[in-house]
Amino acid sequence: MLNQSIMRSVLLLISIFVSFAAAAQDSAFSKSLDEIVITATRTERKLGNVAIPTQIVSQKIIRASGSLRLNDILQEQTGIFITSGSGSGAVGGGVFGNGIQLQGLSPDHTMILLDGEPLIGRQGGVMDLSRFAIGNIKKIEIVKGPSSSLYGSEAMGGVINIITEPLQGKQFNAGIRSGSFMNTDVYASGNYSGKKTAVYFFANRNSSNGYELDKSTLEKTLDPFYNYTGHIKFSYRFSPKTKLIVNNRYFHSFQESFYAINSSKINTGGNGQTNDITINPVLTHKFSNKVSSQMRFLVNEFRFTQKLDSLSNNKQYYYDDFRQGFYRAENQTDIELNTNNTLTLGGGYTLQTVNTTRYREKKEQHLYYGFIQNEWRGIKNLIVIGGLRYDYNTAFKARLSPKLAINYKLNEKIKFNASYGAGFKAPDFRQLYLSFVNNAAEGYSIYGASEFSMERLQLQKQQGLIAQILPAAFQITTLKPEVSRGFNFGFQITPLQKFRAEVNFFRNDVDNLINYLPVAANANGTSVFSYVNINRAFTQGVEVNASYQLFKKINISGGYQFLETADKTILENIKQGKVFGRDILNGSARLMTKADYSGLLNRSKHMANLRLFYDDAASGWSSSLRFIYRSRFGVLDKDGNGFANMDEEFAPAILQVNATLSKQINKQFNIQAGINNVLNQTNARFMPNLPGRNFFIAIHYTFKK
Amino acid sequence: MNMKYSILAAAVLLFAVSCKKEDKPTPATVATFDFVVNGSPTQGNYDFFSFATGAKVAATDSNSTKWDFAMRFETFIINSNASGPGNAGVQIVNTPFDNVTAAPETGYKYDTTVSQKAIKGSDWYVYAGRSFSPIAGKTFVFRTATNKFAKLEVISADALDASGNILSPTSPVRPASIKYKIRFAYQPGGKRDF
Repeated sequence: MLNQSIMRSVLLLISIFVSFAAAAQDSAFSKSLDEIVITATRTERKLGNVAIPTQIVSQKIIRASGSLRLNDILQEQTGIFITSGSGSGAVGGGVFGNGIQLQGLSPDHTMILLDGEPLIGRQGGVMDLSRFAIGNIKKIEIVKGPSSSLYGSEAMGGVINIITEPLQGKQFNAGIRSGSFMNTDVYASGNYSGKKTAVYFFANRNSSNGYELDKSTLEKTLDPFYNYTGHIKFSYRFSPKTKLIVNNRYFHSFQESFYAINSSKINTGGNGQTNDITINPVLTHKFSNKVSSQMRFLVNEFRFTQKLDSLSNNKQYYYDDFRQGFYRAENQTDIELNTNNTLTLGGGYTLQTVNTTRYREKKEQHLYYGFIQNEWRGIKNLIVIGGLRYDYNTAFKARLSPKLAINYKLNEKIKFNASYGAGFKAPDFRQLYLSFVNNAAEGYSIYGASEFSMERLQLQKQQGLIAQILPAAFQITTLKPEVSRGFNFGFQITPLQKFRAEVNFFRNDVDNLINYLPVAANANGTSVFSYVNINRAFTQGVEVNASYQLFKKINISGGYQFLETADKTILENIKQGKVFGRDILNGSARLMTKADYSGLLNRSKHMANLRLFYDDAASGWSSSLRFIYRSRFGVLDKDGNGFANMDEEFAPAILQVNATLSKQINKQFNIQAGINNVLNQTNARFMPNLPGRNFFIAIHYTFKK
Repeated sequence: MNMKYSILAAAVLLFAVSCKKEDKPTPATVATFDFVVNGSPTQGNYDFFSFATGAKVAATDSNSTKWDFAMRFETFIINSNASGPGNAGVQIVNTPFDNVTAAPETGYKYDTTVSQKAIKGSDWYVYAGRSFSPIAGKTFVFRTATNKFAKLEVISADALDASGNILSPTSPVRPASIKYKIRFAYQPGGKRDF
């Protein structure tokens, strides 16, 4: 639906934006290679000296974009695909909120950290990013490619580290924002630092009446909700060498939901509630100039309950209670061995618990791990980083994850990066322990690999409950972790002071992907499912980012990702002439060729963005205009061959345009207005998380001492 | 001489026979049909189908040879043995519908008991989330209740709610019915060619 009139209005918008330009001082939007990053190596390094593809999203960009939640800002970054409640399968999208794909790997293969600590509360493997307010974020670091050598399970496609405000200065901020769909956001934050102590707090309430994209359905596309985020962080300096920081976070959300179940009227309703509490003390001690050590503790408890009742007789229709606990103690020690070597050592223990209505009983896992990394700078202009991590988990086999990365500076204008890393993802609780019999609906049942029992199946067969045990049942064994090997190769060029470009080629090979298979046929014809390590896949492509400073006040940046993905088993079956498909829904089946294969579902082959930021400190006006494009992506498999090949199986390409305009009144007040999704591009079925055109206005107050 | 004549005669005969073989049988008519069936896996009636009429058969005729197969939710039953008085049988071949030019001579299966059915779900569809997709290139070949032959493919399956709207795969609403689009060819003459 990207027709000519849309292209015309896009050009018009750009020209309006560019005509804002005048000559003045430097803009703060350009990212310096001197900026300090931490995520790629778990040590503070200059961005230009990191051998692993890393991007920074600064607070300045976040504010200028007028974003509210984490998914808003991340979806505007190159190579990031926000999945949204459609698609399924082990390597598909997932039906649980706004997840994230990096380098074409699905949300359950991406690690999300908050101040370096993992977040929990994934559902169906997906971490819903809209849970996270961004008013307390200082910056976001995005590391692409496997980083399991430092972070362990899930860090397969990459790591996103949300870094909150540092404990410094004396400041108070407050703001209110109001927008379409009665979306209201209120926040306050403050910083106080004394001689030995420092405190930071952030409080936020966000609510919305939700929206409706498809008028033909009785249910809303997004149901009304409200949520609260509280964040208190404090530090105490025992001595110049010893410091304690305690990070505490609380999140609560409430969302109503209503459905018309087997009826032409809304007849069932209830709500979903999330509670998430984190306590995270970090003790840092400098033994000497060369040795420093950190003890980190993490207590994180997450609970999600959903309840649906019949509205006429209050009879319970659905109830789900999911409780997860994550408890960790970890040490990391950094040692400057000599001028050429920095050694990082670490180790820890994690206890994870899950208790839900869909498991037989409370389940727990114990994880022990250790990691080592050395950075070597023995030759001028060359940095070599080697790392290794060992994970031992009581529920599955141990895993060793190596990584090697090289950064070579050819001259001041050209730098090369190359890295190889192993990634893994432990079988998650659901894949191990799910014990779910859908008595009410289709009558299927699904068992985690640890809950699966051949004896029980055979007993049920004798009792006549099971008609047939399928050969796949004999494959069910202890689940192995999903594993990947990732290569990244790229370069950064800075031919002009005002222009910078980065290119990165990547390839990830993933084995042992876990998927569910029918293992038996119930007497009523429905299936019994369980999980096996079965699929093999790859993702490969290239990512390009460039930024250019125009007229000093305008920063133009753009990015592009080309992505190819495949389920290797399907590719082989196509080669062997075993895969059929249809060209149109009611057409004839024909043999599929490699050219028909579109890769894994929920992946766009082309993704691009163009972002213009204008900032004139003298007049106080600033503005942004951002274009985000995704080519079409497969969402359905109507002909049972495992991929999208007919037009009906794809979600169409989409171009999102977001714009903001701000005015700094004096040092204290800033007023911002914005339009998101200017072109009103929506897709109720496959992108329900993207609302139609919407407006907002916000006032921010800052008091600095 | 005799030899020559007999060769000639044999050749003529052979020609005649091969000519006769090339005489196409009454071509089987290809039709599509929206077969809407009960969406409950466990409760209520099956919906019955006849190849001869190309339409549904009333449930009151379930104890007759008027129907060939029936469906409820995603379960097939075949009119013979454990499921009906007919002589129907079925097999699934991995050949696209258009390329199945003749029904195999043997290999037809039937429902041996209530729980041992001829067709299992995993034979012809894949399950993805709450929806299932018929696998393209799988063709059902039937011997009908009255010993005729037919081929069939399931083109699509949509779960419908009580008002007949298509349910999205992620909907929590239980399907009231399933709409199968089927394509079939029926050979009324009793021949196996399509």
